[in-house]
Amino acid sequence: MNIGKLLREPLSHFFVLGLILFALYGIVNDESGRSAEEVVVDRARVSGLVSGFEKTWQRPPTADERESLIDAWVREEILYREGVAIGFDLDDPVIRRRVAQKMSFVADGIVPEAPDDAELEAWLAANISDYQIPAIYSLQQVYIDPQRHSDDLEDFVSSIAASLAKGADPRSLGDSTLLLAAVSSSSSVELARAFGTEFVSALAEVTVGDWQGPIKSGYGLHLVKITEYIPARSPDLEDVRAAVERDLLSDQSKKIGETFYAALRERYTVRVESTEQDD
Amino acid sequence: MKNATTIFCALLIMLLAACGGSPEDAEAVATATASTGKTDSAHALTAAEAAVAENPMKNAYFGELHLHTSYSLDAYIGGNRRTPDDAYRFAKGNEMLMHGERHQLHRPLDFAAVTDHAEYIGELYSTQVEAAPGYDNAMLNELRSLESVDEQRAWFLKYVVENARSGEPKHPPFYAGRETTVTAWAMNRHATNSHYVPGRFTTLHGFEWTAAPGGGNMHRNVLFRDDDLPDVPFDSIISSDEEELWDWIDLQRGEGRTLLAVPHNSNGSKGRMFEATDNNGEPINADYAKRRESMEPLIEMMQIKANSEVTRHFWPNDEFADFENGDSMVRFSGRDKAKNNYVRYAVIEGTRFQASLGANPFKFGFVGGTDSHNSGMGDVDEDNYIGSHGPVDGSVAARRSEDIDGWIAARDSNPGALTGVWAPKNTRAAIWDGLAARETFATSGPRMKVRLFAGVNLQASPADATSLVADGYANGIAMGQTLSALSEAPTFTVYAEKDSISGNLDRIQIIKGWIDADGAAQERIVDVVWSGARKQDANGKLAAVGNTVDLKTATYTNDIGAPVLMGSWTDDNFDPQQNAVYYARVLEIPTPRWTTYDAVRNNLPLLQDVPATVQERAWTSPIWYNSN
Repeated sequence: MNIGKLLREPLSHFFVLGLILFALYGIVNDESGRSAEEVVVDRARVSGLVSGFEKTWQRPPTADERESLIDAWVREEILYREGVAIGFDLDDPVIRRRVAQKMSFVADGIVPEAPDDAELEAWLAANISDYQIPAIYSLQQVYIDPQRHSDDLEDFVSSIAASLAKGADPRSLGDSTLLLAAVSSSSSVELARAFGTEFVSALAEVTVGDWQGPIKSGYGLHLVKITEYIPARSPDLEDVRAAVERDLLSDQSKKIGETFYAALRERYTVRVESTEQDD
Repeated sequence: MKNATTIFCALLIMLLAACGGSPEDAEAVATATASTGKTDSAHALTAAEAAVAENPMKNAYFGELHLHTSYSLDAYIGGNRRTPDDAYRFAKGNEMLMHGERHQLHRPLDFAAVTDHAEYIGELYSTQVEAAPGYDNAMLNELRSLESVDEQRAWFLKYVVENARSGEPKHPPFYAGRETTVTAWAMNRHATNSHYVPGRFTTLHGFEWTAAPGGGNMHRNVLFRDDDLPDVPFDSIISSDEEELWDWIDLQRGEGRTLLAVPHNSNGSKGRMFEATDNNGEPINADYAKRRESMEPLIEMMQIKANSEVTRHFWPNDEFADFENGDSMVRFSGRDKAKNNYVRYAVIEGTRFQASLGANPFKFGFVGGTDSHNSGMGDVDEDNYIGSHGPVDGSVAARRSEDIDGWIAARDSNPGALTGVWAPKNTRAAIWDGLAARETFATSGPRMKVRLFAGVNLQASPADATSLVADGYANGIAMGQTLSALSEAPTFTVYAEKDSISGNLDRIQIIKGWIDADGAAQERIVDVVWSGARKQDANGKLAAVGNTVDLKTATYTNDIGAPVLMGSWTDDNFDPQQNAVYYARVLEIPTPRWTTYDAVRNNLPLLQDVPATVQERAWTSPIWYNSN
């Protein structure tokens, strides 16, 4: 066996490291004054094992099963201690990940407290655009399909506009469609569902009162008469309390993890050694 | 042995994979659990539902009824850590991180159902929730740390497939007991309930029963009308025989619950979805036919893994049959292309059974879904598509070259389809009742609205859309229903309105199918109304609408086509003695396929083996004619 090669083997490093730890462990143990190794299976441990069994199998373990649960735990504990003693937990990516995961669960386990009104108000103020109460419209519209009037679109539109100005029934005018001829007290969200977003944006240029337009939508052109308009407004907390609470809690539980990590991260400096490959 | 193969294939099919998962999922679960305690609701909810105004002429609502989250094992293995709660938020228009990208629908859906694979929801509860029984299982520790696609596949083979191969279908060794399934199902119920806002956003409880005997896809999604649910769903480990699923549904109905099943991917069923025999090999009888008619009023026409209406191979005379045919599906799971895998075949054969048995086992209305395993509810827009099955289609490069395991080449898949429902209002009961009544249509993604009515007394050549609808309801029947024993030919009235942010409409067709006197299946495709001044030629063929797509920029214009089409057709070959089925198909003008957007945005050449443009479309549920 080539000694040099042996010295470069990671496994050898592992054993050496293990021996050192083993020695250290011995020293520490001596200083604590304890003599023999002792595995204590206390009551809490036993009831934990039993309830784990019950959760899985939906019944209590028999006496034999109970005994073998304890034996299995003892066996695992002894192997675990010995393994840790010789450093088998070091440099193992699965254990590393698992321990890191456990740390992050420490953060996840922190349940955010129910927010008080001040916190809710602050959240609402900071995210007010998510809670806007949409504008409300009552309107009538006459639809024009430009494809059907490619030769005389302008004339067609102005003749309809003229009829409307004279008080003609809007339902008798324009091209037929299932797009609603009139909507009453509909939110801009509902209007967007029915007419598309382009139509709703174009409404911004229509004032309440008489027939105006045409404005454009994904379907074509519309002459529009708005009879009622309540602008979009920011809600009071009472209007949206449940939604604010749900979102704030959800955000807090997400942030706890980040804050926790940030606090730990602050205690470290990180040095990344440059590799030969430069960017 | 048969069962082992069954589950093996089911699992293989389910091995899909995803990526870009984030740890926020565990917290979402915790949040969901934390708010379970609220008890204000039942009365308030009923009142809120009752307060929603009704439109007797009905509105079209758009939604998605086939979606997987981190509670589906294949999705989780692929890296999806986005829960049902995340999926509903996405459906309501919120941003979600997918493959590390902020991703969002162009506009919210009206309704949605999470349909995770019922088989392993308990295992995924153990996997994802730290306090859950079984959480510390070594296999699950490993599952949580899988990173590469290869690792994911290896784990799945080792612990799920190998185990399933070893005998009767059963839960994998890391299953921590029925209690975990109960809890997982309860958590899904909670998430589904918490996002229901009567009048604005409807959520339905559902799950997928994932049976694939012999590798033939027999999957069904089961959907509930209300919040009355059994404590666990029915999974293919209990049985992979659809007749036993129906037994279970019967049992549920006997206990006062209201539910139905929706089959999907008949295109991957190896001829089993529409067999003329039951699972014992006996010819199906009237009982079977009646039962299936009651259990399965709908079929998912199209989803990510291709369109099941028709393919150009067996319908060479249907000039629009070459649409998302999913040719590469034959490379997987020992499939071959066969005509009896397709929905048009089934609904025509159904009329044969109606004549011989007095009931129609294939009386399907049409719906669409995505089957996304990325929690991307209703994520169907060609110009907004970033994949659906984790890492295997999670990047431009992967979408151009990888396969969605067990199913299809990623470039040959599509973003999936949506369901349209005509309902008087947007509540659970109204949406579910519209589904059960088959007053539905499937669209390949765009939200065009389509209506179809039939009756002998309907006003032909309607000029006024509002009266077309009023006339349809007053003097005829709507899509999904049945005419019977007529002495004169029915008239069909159709209306279609484009999606406000998609392409104009090319035409509306009616497809009629029947069995002739010699017992041969027949069909006829009629162009009922179309855009522009096109004329049919001597053979009745209508010229193509044209194509405005610029392949260099992946853009199109609406200079061709029409925003609204309406018309009527009276069946001029009507035989009162002959059963028939009729459905409408609406075509958009050509628009860029998702692969074209991918190519243009990334300065890559267009893929040569997939079309650069598609004609998106909608299919109405059929109207049937029974001669007696």
